[in-house]
Amino acid sequence: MKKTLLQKMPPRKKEVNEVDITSLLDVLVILLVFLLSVYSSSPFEVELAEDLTLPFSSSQKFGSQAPVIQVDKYRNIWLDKDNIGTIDFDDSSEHIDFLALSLEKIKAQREKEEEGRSPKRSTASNARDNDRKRINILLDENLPYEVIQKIMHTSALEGFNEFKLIVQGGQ
Amino acid sequence: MSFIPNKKQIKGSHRYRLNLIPIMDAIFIFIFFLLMSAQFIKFNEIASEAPNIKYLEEEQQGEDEPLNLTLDLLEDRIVVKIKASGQVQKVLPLLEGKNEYDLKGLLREIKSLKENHIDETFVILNPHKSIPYKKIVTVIDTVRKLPHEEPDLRGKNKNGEIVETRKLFDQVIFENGPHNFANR
Repeated sequence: MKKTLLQKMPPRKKEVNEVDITSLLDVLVILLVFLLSVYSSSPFEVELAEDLTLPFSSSQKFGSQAPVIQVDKYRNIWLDKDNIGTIDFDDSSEHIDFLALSLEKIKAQREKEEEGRSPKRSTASNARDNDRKRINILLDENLPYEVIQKIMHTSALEGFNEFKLIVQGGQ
Repeated sequence: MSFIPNKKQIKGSHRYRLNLIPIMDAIFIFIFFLLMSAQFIKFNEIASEAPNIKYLEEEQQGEDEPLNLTLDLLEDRIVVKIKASGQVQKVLPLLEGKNEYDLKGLLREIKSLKENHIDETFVILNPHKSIPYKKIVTVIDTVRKLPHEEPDLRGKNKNGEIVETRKLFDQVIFENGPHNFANR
């Protein structure tokens, strides 16, 4: 039987369309390098309040976990993500009542958690004692010292007398 | 004889392939735009403690008096004071024509104090109530440690040994400020 022209031609191989991912890999490597350069191994993480700009500092010590007080440029105060109030501009007292109440609640909560633990003293429990006194303070860079002094004074009266002033690293 | 494809062949040759390249371009430009607009903040800390009143025991009263370095941060100057009596060591006015502290002058003064008191690590800050926080942080940065370009400081410790260090006064205490300036 005579073959037609098409029948005589060898069958076309199915072309496998290969996606060239070289440029994609280039982009991903650059992305990885960028993310590594901004990576911070500090265990401290916080959601910054709006209207709060931290000052820059050459300090290189990492932050650590503890109750967090944030005060923005309008003197609104957050304690562990909760907005608890605003410092009055005309208030001349050295103590912030609503902050003291909130810190007392945190202490009470901790004491409840401690009740279940062993009363024996150990290195771990001594370390926890130090942790209990620690408080992280994030303040807007333009706040005057009188606000800072009130925050520290109130915190110290409630037993949080190890202040950790959180700043931005490097500039 | 010319080859004329039939209807089946014409139908089969129209295969539409989705071109992903413009979509991937758009996605990656979008990612870079998001990264550039995102804020990556490195959180660091400056440790400070509430001031403790320490009473000297009788046995200790014979020892050298502590330095008690105190910095009064005022609106127009920094006053460097030492010893419990508050002896004024140096007054550093603002930089000429600028509303900035003379941090270089402060560093010089701090270095000379540290060389003579290599074991001392405490500094007491006494800012005026109106001083902004960022200015206080710049002063803290200046007094805590030497800048990279400066060589190590050398001095004799209490045992008479020569000690080299890059730390200056890295333990910061805030004094109760506002009421101290009621009459200024």
